[in-house]
Amino acid sequence: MMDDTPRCRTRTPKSNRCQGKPIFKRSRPKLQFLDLPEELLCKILSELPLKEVVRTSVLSSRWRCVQKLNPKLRFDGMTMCGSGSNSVCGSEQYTQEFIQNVNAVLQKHNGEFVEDFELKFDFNSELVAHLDGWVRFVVASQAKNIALDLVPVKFHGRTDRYLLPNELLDIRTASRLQHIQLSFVSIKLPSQFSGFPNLRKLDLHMINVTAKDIEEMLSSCSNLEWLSIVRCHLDDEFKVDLPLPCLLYLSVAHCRITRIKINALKLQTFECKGSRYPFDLTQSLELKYAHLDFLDSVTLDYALNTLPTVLPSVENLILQAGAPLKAPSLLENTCKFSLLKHLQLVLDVESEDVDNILFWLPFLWQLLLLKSLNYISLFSTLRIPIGSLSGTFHGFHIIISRTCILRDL
Amino acid sequence: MASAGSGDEKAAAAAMITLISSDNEKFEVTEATATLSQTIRHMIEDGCTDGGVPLPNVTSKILARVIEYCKKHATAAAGEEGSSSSFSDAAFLEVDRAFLEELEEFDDAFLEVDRATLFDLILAANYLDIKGLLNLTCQKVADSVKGKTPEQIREMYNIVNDLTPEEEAEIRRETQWAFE
Repeated sequence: MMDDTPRCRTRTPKSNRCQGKPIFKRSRPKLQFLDLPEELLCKILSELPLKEVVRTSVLSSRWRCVQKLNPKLRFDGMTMCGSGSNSVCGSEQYTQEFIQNVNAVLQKHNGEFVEDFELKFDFNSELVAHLDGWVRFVVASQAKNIALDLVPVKFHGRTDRYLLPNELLDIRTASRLQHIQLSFVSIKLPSQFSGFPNLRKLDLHMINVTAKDIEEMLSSCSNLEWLSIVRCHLDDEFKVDLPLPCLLYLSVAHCRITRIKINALKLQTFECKGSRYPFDLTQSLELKYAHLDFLDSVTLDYALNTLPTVLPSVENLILQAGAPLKAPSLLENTCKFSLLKHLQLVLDVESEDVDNILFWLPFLWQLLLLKSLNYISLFSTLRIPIGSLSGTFHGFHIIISRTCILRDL
Repeated sequence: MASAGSGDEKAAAAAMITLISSDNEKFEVTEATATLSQTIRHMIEDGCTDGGVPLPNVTSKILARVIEYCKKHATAAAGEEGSSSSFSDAAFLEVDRAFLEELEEFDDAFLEVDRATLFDLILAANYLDIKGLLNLTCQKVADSVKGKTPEQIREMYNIVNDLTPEEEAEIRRETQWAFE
């Protein structure tokens, strides 16, 4: 504005200061927003929420066209419905409004340059036909990343799922996909499934799938780097015999499974939450970081003798669990972790065992001296029986490091 | 490798690279600074940086700013490598955090430019293929639009509304949800 007035024009390109902001004088015409090449406009648009992108269509006739290039389509029920007075979350009108708005955006979109397609809405049967249509859009637009988050607010007791259409699993589409995030979906592999050879990230949440199908699916993911499986009840082993040579991160949480066996040479991080499943990651010699958060109880023997055999290379271990403690015998318990540097124990202890936990201290101290450990952190919360004293938090946190001992009670 | 010989010579000359702006100004930078640009990195790998790297799409004013960014972030990258796998020590974490904060402050101050310069920086970052700078500048533009009304955006970026009132009403009707 101000710097456009002729009076301000000077020949020397010195910058003036006006209200703390530099004003630059230039001879060539100033670059305007729409002078940027399309790929850069796409990049800027992709940083905005869908709502804001759609709003740019009223700026001018050119912007009306530009916003159709948006490469990241993120549909979220929370931001796209609720305009009508009767449109309450979960109501039929709410769903209709969402369907209508998604369809309107997709009709306007030119269908090219789509990279990400994300959709978040509580699943219900009315949605199925439309979801099928939207998946066809994903297939046609050659999107690389797809996220369907269909977990309803009240998911307990619900066994229905959205059945993933086979179009998404055919060879042309499946080989293009790089990131897949699915929630509240059912996956049945077609007989001629050819795999996800370029998939790097797979995030599965509340998926109905058989152990056989998930093994077949993962066996084809030779470039997979990141895998998370949450609340997927296989009621069977979760195993993949073929190597996953690129896998760096594995997280398994709250799944009803009987065992984990994965062949991942380069795995660095393993996170496991829920019941204490037996697992076998002996082939993962680069596995440095493990976070185990078990609902069940563990013994000191399990922590220091069993874990090292299944996580031989781990350097940083966090173990959270219940602990029915017995005073460990100092002579018998020798830690088999050879590379461990940091050990963090978060133990849930019955109040009658509180004295026992102090028996751990000399042992842990010895461990620190004998091994290459830099520090051990022991954090313990007391489980107070219901009916007794409540309202106060009982626990303690002890950090033992090579250089100092801190202890607060 | 064919370029091995010339590579050694360059290493001997403290690995400096000369960048030449569109208005023929010369900038001497270290290789570590220059290689934040993938475009220049590839030129170095191909051994075609002797006699300077002409950058006909970048003015001296913009190039000076780009170099300022690269210098700062090249030292940041070197710092990160040095402190890897030492997260054991709380002291290191503290240093890292302070360093990251400083870098963030630098980035914020760096982005305090008028809009035309910002667009020039975007074009330069794209041409030189400097991912961090491209993300930073694009994010800045996106942030400037976020939460603004169409009227505010038009004013901010001198956008002339050439839609008829009927057309505008039609668009608003079709995309009503986005205006609520």
